[in-house]
Amino acid sequence: MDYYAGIDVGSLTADAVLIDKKGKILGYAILPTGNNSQKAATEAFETALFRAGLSKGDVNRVVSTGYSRARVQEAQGSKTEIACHARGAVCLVPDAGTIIDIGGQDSKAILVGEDGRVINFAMNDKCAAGTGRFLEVMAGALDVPLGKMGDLAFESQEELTISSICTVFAESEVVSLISQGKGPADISMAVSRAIARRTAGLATRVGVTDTVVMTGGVAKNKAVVRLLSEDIGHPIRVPDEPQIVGALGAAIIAKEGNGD
Amino acid sequence: MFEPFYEVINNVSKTVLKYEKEQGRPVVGVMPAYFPMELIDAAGGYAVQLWGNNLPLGKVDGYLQTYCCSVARSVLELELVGGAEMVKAYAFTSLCDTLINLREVYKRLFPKPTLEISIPMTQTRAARRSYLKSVIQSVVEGLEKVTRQKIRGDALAEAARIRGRSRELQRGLYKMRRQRPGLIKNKDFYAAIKTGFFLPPIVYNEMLETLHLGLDGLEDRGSKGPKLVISGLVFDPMEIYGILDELGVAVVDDDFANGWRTVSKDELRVGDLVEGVTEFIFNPAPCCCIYNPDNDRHPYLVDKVKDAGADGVLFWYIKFCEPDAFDRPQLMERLREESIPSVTIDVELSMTSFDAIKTRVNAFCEILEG
Repeated sequence: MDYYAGIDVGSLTADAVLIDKKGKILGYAILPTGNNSQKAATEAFETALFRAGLSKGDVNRVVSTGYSRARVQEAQGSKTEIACHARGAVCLVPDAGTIIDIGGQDSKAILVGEDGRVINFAMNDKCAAGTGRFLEVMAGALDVPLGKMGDLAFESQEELTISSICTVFAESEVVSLISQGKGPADISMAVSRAIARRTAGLATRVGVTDTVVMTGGVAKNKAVVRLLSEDIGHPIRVPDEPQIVGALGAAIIAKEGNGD
Repeated sequence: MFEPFYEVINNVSKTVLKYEKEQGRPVVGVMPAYFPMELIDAAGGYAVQLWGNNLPLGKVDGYLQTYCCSVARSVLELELVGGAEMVKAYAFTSLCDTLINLREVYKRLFPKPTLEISIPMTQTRAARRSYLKSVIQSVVEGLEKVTRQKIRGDALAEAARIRGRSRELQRGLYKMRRQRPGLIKNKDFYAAIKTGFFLPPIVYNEMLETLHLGLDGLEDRGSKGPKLVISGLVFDPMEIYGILDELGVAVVDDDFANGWRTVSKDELRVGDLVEGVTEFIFNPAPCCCIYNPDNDRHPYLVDKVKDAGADGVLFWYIKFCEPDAFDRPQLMERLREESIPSVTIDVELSMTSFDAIKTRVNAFCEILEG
């Protein structure tokens, strides 16, 4: 019965990860949070259990994280997403120094010390600028599937600029560009550039180290990753499944017996 | 023990109307910060401090830009929606550009008189003195017109004694929480300080005397979380203290303009009013809004942290407050040099969602607790 779970309930997705006592990932799930975060957490946990071939009774300890961390019934403890993303990223990339996480409604830059502990962090303001939600809104305006935005951006031929920080105003800019006949690839690249520029500022606030790791759903957008890498002047490492890093960190914290 | 304080701060209009009627004194709304309310008391006015509120903002957009701080915007909104009918005049200080311009907005929009202590930003005491002399004379005359009562020397001395006693009692609470962190919940502490914004000082002093008696006999509960010093302009929204209490944080001291920066002021010296007011505005605590080369904020904040035995500093930033924002990078740098961790939260008085604030403070606590 040496199994541990982490559940990360964010604004857009609820993610769950199951690990064994060696820290090996046995199963995970990424589900939309929807309008009931508690239910989404339970479903993500049960899906991850099913995929790992385990039942709830097999799990020693569950730690929750994310904005709805306090409302996860299955959890015996909780930690902030800052601690969990740092822990998960350092587990996957042991020499990680700067961790950039762009989630659904916030983006964070986290500086960790050589011992893997969080030294400093910075978060975006309460508005959705530069977050996954920003990307989602722009994908909606372009009528392009969210997952295709990054690849599409690489087909860009013309450099366009989205200057508004506010998501609502930026969406208006995108609509205006569409009405001017600008192509979706060029607009998608401009959207990626806007996110990268804003995130680079955040990373600079905490300090950019040699090894930068990017986590969260937006790390799947290769255009954002490349542009951000150019902006901060460092290569960026992206884990195979960047969206579960917070939940993985929570599972590791559960394994260590921590989490309040 | 704190219920009477919450009764006041949760029912401000009702409270002010009650004491206005009881005392028959015209209400003077006091804008941030450091206006010597002793002058209002001595002139027969009822000073009510206006440090902002949590009204939903709407009408104010027609008169004040969205990038002005929520303190100024919410105070103006209050007047625009008719929530400040009982206020007969406003007392300003030239604390920042927004407040200087806000007075001009009030002068154009409302028939109510406005007074201003224009704070001199000069290097020398002599220059301050000659400037303040005329400013104080003008404020005294303005107040006397509002209340139709002359400021007599004995009334001013009495007002100074009573207000001085308020701050002395408040300092007692500050000392108590420094020495016995966790004794008073953070939210209760600031409820007790905030109550003083709205009550006649004699009534407030009686409440504080009773509170002191009650607290003296209480056992120290200790604190389970980190000990913090908070720095900022205004200690609202109060909901954040609920978060700090939930996380087990013990605020052991603060550097708020409406907190320690005001509470630390000695009794106003009325023998030489110009010198007294100069001393009152410029000392003892430094402020981001007051230019005073003799009173450096950087070592002051570091010393405050060390003296209080705090683990870190929480910068409580009211959005768009330029004086506070300009000072913060250097203050943070100085704290870093002393290996004192710090974090910043961005707040607005009208905010209703505190999840992001909770995450930031919680993460900071996790760092401090290792």
